[in-house]
Amino acid sequence: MERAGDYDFSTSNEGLLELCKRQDQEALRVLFRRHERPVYSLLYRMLSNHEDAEESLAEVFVKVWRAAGSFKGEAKFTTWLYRIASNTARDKLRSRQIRQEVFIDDSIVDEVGLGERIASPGMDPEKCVLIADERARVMRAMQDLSEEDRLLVTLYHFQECDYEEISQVTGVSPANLKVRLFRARQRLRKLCADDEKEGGINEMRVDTAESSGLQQRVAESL
Amino acid sequence: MIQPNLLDYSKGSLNRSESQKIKAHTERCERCAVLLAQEVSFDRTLACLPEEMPANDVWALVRVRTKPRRFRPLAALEIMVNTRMRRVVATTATMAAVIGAFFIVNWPTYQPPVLLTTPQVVAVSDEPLAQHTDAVFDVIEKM
Repeated sequence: MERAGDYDFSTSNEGLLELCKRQDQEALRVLFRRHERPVYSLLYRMLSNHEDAEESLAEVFVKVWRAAGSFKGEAKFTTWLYRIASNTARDKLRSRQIRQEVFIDDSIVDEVGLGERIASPGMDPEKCVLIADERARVMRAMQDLSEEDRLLVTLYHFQECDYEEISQVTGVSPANLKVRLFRARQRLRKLCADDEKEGGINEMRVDTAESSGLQQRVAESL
Repeated sequence: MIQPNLLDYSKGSLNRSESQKIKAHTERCERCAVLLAQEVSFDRTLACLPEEMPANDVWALVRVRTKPRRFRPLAALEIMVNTRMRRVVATTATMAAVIGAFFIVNWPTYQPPVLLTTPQVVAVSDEPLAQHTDAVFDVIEKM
């Protein structure tokens, strides 16, 4: 067995998977470091919760380790990996429904921390807030999409997969894929627009309540 | 199929004839022209969103769950099941199970098959013994 450090990040995914079959944990570590971000991103967009996404990320790579022998090389490694990730996310969503968990949406709880996560040195703070706001809006809207729509949008827009790859991951025929993706995007856009309107109305309500409170205090002082 | 192709058209990923078809259509159809602008704008919004990153190092969790065991007697079997040998292994295991089940079910009543041919009885003559007895008596009488 090769020792840690005998191969580097230039080794192909398939080569690393071959080593995983022989119980080489170092090979799995390299695969993990190479793909953790895109897989986590997919899981988070599907689950909308960081804790669940991290737990599922671990599950995905444990499955990769155990199923390394079943990889036939008919599809690309990333396609195979995304299929495992999307199935894991679906299982998580189903188990949530069965347990009827009180689901706390990160995009609501963590809005304060979003700016900090996004912010990078030298970035305009106002821009950070705008991006954080947009991100929170999209994440809220994503939750109202169906599982299938969410997966299609995530793979195309966030994971930047091509149509063939999306078709292999989701099982949707290439002929129907464009139409379904277009409809999913339309639904998401509408949900985002509705959310923006509701946000605007709520802000107006807060403003009105504050001003009426002020008016009341002024009236009382008089 | 104009509308589902609008985004691909904006990205320039359609072939020439499809591209020309959509261009001609959006020039005369105001609704699709508006939709094209919306598609481009929304795609930009989604593209601007930052990549999500795990806050904790999840590798530690994966490492513990995939730690190779030093002594794994079933490892060879697992590998065989995961390879092309699995059909052979499955067939052999099934046959062994069937044969084993047959012997277990029939064991208390099992008897070896009975031979149809009767064994030949060898006739033993008592003549030599009689002659011998007479000789003994003769000796006694002479005494």
